Amino acid sequence: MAFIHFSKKVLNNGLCVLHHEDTTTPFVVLNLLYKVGARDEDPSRTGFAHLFEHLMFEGTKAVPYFDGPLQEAGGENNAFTNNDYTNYYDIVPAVNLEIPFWLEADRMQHLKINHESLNVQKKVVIEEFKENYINQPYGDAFHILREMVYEQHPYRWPTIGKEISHIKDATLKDVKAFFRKYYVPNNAILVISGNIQEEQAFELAKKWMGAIPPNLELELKIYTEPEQKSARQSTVFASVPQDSIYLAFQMPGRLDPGYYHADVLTDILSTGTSSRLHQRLLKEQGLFSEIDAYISGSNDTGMFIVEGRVSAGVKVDDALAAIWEQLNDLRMNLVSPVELEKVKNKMLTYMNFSDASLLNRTISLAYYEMLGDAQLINEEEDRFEAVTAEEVQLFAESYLRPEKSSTLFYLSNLTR
Amino acid sequence: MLQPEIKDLLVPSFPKAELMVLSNGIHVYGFNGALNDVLRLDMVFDGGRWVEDRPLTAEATAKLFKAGNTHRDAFSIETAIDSLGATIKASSGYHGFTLSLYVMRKHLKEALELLLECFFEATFPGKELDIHKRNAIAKLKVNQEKPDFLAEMAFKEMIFGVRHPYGYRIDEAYIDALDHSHLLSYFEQHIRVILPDIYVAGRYAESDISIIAQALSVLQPQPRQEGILHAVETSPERKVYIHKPGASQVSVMSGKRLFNKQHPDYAAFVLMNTVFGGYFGSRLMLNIREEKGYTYGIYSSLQTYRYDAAFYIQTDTGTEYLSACMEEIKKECIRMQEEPVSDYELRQARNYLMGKFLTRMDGPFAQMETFKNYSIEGLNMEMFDNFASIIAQTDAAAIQQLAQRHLDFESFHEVIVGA
Repeated sequence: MAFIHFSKKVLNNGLCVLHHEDTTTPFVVLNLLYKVGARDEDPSRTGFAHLFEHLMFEGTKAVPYFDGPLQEAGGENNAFTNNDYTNYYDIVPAVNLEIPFWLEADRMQHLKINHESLNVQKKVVIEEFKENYINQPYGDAFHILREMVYEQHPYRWPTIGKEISHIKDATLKDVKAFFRKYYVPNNAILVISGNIQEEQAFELAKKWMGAIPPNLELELKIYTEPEQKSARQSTVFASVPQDSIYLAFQMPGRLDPGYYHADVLTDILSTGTSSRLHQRLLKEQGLFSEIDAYISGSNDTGMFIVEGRVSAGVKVDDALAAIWEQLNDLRMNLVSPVELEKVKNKMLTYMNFSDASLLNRTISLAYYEMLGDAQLINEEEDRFEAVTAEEVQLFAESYLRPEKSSTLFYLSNLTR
Repeated sequence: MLQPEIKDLLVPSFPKAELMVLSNGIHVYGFNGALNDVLRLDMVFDGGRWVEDRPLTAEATAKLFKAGNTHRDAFSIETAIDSLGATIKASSGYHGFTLSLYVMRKHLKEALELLLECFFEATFPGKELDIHKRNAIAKLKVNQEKPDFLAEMAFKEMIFGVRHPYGYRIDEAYIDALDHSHLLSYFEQHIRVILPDIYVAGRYAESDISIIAQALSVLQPQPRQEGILHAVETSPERKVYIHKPGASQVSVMSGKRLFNKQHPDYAAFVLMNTVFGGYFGSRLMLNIREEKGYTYGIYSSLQTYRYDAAFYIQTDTGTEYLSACMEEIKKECIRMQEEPVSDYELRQARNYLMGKFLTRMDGPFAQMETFKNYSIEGLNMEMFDNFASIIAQTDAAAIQQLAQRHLDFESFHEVIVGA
């Protein structure tokens, strides 16, 4: 894989700046990651980090409408929030590369926060909540599953928020305090990439953001989740056409070697149509119409999830037993060298294609820097390559155990 | 600090594809220069849904392309592909049936051999078709619980008709009726003997192109015979309401049949639509989301096909906001018709679109995708360049005229799905 070159400087106010040049594109990307997410929310005000992300587009005194100048510059932008961080990016043609510096610096300092914009964005977010989590079949499954997997960690609620009332209850005072606390240079990572030279990138970063005051009282909060000791199970009925099973296990955080073992395991289970769950449970045994295994990839204790839609006429207990049979196989037997090689080849191809996108590379640099070191971006391939069959089995044996499982039966009340 | 100056954008001509014509008449278009040693190769057969005898045959044929051949079964084929770290995907659109290969350069030859093995020998086994049918019906039932899915199906059916390839809805009975022999005859008649176009993107050398040329030289394809026609039968019905008990939102689709990219007004219409509802900074979005908070998103688009097009406005809104939301959409249509758009709005929309044009030619993968989609729609890249220059010149008066001619909200077809 091509080595991704970048350079790094930390400004006096603590803003971490990275530069990655790509002269084959006419664009420049400016990516600003703030180290704040749903994990930093008050348990009675969940969904707040995401609501705040919406407010970041509400403009300032100098720029009443954030998207306006960016669109006028031929660019586009977007943002996303997850449990660990909030990420904003702007893509502009290189002739207008200074515009996003101006815009991002302006809103980091002068965000306009008032009742009117807060009330409108609360309504918008409530509609988003309904559209994606209520008015969709199985839309609230992760609201339920997270509460089962986590007892203490703030990962127990999803980014959109635990319930609509929490969003309704957000106050202007909360918004202002959140902004002053977290939207500060020493809590951010700026990546400048594309058709821009290193010297100019650092110069512009310093010019526009070098004088923004840091929050010197910012402290890192550490959350932990106690190890699960006994099986958890829950059943809900909803007007969905098919019974579904969500089987989740706690797993190590993103920087633990176990993360890579888990990722390889989920690929053995469900990446590609020759994968075990797809071939055995969906095709040969006909127990599921869809089945997938994946990991949540969070900074702290993550989730290893098997999710399946049970075929009509199949008992969910039988379907669940069949999943366990596959997991137990991985706990008891080594994966063959050929199968391990297969999933590594798949992963390598995926990583190489994903890297083709400048935006992907840019967001990844910010993400790995948040984890501790952007250089990790160039080490991922080797980490996956190094995973052994023994490690995969040890992981399965240690983590994919009944007493560490959370089973959610999400059942149809239409067929009963 | 002062705002940096914003410069207008110039869009260069679409880059020329590297072209090679094989002795059997196959054209290979190449876009080189990716960061990593990866290749994507698409074989596109003119046809797709347009030439099928029975609904959903083209899609099902694509789904079962790798489900077995005279040499081996599905699992053996899939394992061989996965072991190379490659992906082979067959898909059918309205006019193109595409075999796509994603692979690391070093595995190109073996992966291409696998693709061609399926191409020459695919058998579409009945047992595999049964599995596909069972799971496709299950998936359909989940989709039928999604209001936006129901709205789109009903809207397209209303605009193009229940039998038209652009209009027919995915129906359980169609899936049920699929038969092994239909798939096989579709493939033999419409794919195996038809002259494909080949599109390659990624990072390749002369030797890779030789591998491709050599592998494909064994095909003996014939150009497709033109001639199939499907008449659009727009429903006389204007309003359709689909009751979805318990829904907390309503899904709305409202619009009309309109012209496609061949029409001289196409590019100016796209500019008009951008101001109206085509992007985040549009009037619909700024008014109905950013000012009123009635929805998470509202967009209007002109969806073009080779022979036709539909224009529509689409949103999901809280049940309690429905009538206010429709009233605002109507107001925005009228405002587009009665007042010229401001210079600022025009410049913003125009430059935004210029940025989009640049995006569509940014790097080999985007170039290939744009070039291929234009070809499938029956267009060439001169038209792409032409659209950019028309958009650069279209003024507020032209936009207002287009709005007067086409944004006749009262006559739109409308689908509402909700409680």
